[in-house]
Amino acid sequence: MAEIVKESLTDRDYKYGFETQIETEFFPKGLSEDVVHMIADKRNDPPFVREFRIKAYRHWLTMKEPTWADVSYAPIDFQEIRYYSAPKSKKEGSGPASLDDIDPELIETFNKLGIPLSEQKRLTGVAIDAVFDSVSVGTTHQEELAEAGVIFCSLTEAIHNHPDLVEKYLGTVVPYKDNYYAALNSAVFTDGSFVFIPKGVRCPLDLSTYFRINARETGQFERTLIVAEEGAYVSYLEGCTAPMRDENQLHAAVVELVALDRAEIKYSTVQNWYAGDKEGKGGIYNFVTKRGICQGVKSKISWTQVETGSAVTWKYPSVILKGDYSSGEFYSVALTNNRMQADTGTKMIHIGKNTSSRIISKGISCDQSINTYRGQVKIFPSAENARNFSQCDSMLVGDQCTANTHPYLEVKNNSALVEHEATTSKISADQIFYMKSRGIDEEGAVSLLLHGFCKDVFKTLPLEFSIEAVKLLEMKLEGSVG
Amino acid sequence: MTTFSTLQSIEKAWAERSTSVAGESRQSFERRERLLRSAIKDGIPTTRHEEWKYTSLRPLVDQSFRLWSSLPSPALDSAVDALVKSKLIPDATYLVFIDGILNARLSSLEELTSLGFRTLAEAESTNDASWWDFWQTSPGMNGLFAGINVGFVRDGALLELKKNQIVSRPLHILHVVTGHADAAASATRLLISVPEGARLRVFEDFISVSESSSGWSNGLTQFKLGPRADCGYYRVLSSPGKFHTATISAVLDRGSRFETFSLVAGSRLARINIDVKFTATDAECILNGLYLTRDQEHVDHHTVVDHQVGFCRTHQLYKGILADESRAVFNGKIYIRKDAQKTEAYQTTKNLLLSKNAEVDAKPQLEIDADDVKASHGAAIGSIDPLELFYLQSRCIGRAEAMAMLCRGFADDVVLRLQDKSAKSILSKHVSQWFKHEVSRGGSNT
Repeated sequence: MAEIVKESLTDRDYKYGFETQIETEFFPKGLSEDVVHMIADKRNDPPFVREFRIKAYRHWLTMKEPTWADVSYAPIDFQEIRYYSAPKSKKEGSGPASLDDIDPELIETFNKLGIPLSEQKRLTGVAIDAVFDSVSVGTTHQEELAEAGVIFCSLTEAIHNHPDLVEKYLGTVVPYKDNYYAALNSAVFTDGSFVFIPKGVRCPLDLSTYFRINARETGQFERTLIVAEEGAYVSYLEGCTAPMRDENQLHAAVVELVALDRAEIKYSTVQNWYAGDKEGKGGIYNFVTKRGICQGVKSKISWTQVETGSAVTWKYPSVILKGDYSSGEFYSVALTNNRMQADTGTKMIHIGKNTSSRIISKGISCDQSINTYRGQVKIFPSAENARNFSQCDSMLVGDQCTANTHPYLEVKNNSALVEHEATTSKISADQIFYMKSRGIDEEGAVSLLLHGFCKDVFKTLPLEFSIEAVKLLEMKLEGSVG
Repeated sequence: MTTFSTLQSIEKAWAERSTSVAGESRQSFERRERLLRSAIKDGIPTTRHEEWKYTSLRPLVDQSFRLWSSLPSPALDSAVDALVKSKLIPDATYLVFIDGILNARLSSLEELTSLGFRTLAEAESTNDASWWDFWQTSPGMNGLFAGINVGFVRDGALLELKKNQIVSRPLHILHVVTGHADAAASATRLLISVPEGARLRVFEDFISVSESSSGWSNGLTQFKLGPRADCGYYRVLSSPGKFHTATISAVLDRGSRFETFSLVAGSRLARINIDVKFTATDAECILNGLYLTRDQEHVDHHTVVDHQVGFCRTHQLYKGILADESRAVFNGKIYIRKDAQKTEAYQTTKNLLLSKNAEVDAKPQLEIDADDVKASHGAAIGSIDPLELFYLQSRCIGRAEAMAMLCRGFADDVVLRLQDKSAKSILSKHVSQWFKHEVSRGGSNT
């Protein structure tokens, strides 16, 4: 009996673990300058993109894999990865011209994931760019967005249709030399999303990208670039899933955000890559560089992330507060269970005057997982009256897990006020018992405690995401609390 | 040159030391060499090294201090004599080191015998395994400056109290750096064992003769606390213009209590490593500190508290006041290991920046592997609240005085927490002195 219950729990653990059987074309394994050229050929890259790739690749060769994070994993063999894999398009050329050209199998896949691609189903009021392995397969609601002057398309399309914009901003926030995985991404990125909100426009829809890894032995290297001009506003959501497999797959993405004067970008992520099984076999290595720059005065960038998947996470969404009066926010809930390892946090770099930042990080670790918060708050001498508040709470579930906190506070201006606080707690049998004695069942009690613990973060998520996030956490925690 | 500048020169100093020291037993020589070599195997760290991210050793390396000198202790002039006498705290047992060499005349050797005193050389001639274990396996012994100390130590002491020995007179250890041109870096080592039921208070002062000359003191102080032992350790560094590196380690047994306070009020560059390890339940550690910096001073505290067993408590509070272009670093690590359930560990650091050009780098770290614990850490960095200043000024208190009052209040918060009355008053005096100097030079009240 117990066996059966356990079985059903495991099944429920990851409902996105299926694999779509679809005709794909892919490159042979391995990475070399030729492969980088092949990707550039495949994507029909204009010279500036090709050059960017080659420079990045050559620089990558000189770099060493970072080892400072509190994670351990078998070394990655970069020659054992395919750097390009894409579902075969019905028509030859640069991807599907419209949604009708998409393979029905793909539509079905995304429907199964709960992402309606066909525009007739305007259920969500969210425009979606769907990325399947290395390429974007379709973007919805394009007409409606175009009316408002918003550009929302795959990066490949943007490179061809708006090369001037891409050239102006690509690599300005995360230069190809930034770090090992950013350099790798810059060399081999295949697709991603591009968002451009012109001056004074408030984006009428929430924009969303859904990332799906499907093919075996493939790495996903996408790049997202969001530019909000003066006074613009956009809310952007990102979701990710992958099939359940015994092997580890690499996901090394780069996200760049640029906010000009009084612009606001809100970037939310629900990351639910496959995290490997109970013994820690398989799962995605999620090595992501996300950074935004508040270029203009009174601009604002807000990162919200709910991290529930990936075998190993290495991710620090950061904000460079360059414009005066600009503000940065980071809200995070990171849940690790089984043998997951997450080393995540943020960087707030205060350069402009009267800049402010806020960091709320909630880590939940269960089973034998390791959950680390690593954050940096840096106040430059130029950042008069900068303000920062950080709060990092950890919840430990079970006595086998680890919760670490590594804040770095660097203050070079005496008018700054920087505060950091961190606490640890646990869901104890006492709390559960207390609620049970008041007629709340165990599941309800856990959910209630979780809600309370994560409330500060969840309330910043868009509504549908918030509900999904809570469900995700509850599902992952089931069976861990006792 | 046999200086602290490159790996080769350290090797050379070691070779010179090996030939000039006579009568050292083979085992002690080998142990020394092993510790030194393991400490320097990666060379002199740069700021690319995580543990040295905010502290560059360049100024220390540039000074090219001699690591070893076989010269006898410098003759004391009356100025040094007078200085030492003025600094000794009343009614204490004294242990005085001048440039790293024990001064028998200024020390109270007779009273020291009752504390189980032996010189380092005497103690090292034994074969006692537990002594050698204490000698080489304390936490923090793998650090660079612990290794340098072990290798080039010139003098030191072992103090071994008896079971249940309650020592009411405080022990005052005074280190003087004279700044003599031909003097080597002063490296002294103290091993203090407070066994079951014993009680001891230790004051350790690092002072210097003149501000103008250069000097480097490199201390290594190890504590071993037995069951229910109670030890207070209060260290004061007030040697402006001098370099200071220190390694302090403590191993705590069941039910013991270790109270430390590190006051830094003057040094060119100071790096103080404190390592505390709990080996049995119900022990308590109070780890407080205050750094007052001005000019281009640089003070770096690195503390590590290792909760290997459950039911222990750590309370840590470090505060800093920084003027001018000074810089302070605080890195506090608290480990709570897997079986250390019911641990209580609280860590806080608060810093006051008085000048635009001062800098604080704080890195409070928690690593928790047990679920049923209470742990928290906090860090705050800011400047004097203009409203508080305005309030005092509106009550006819001058700006400079108001500043001093607010700073004093900030500093007293940590000093007055000391449980030991004499420690409280002695440290308070040091803080007053620093403030007096600060006010007399017009302060850095920007």
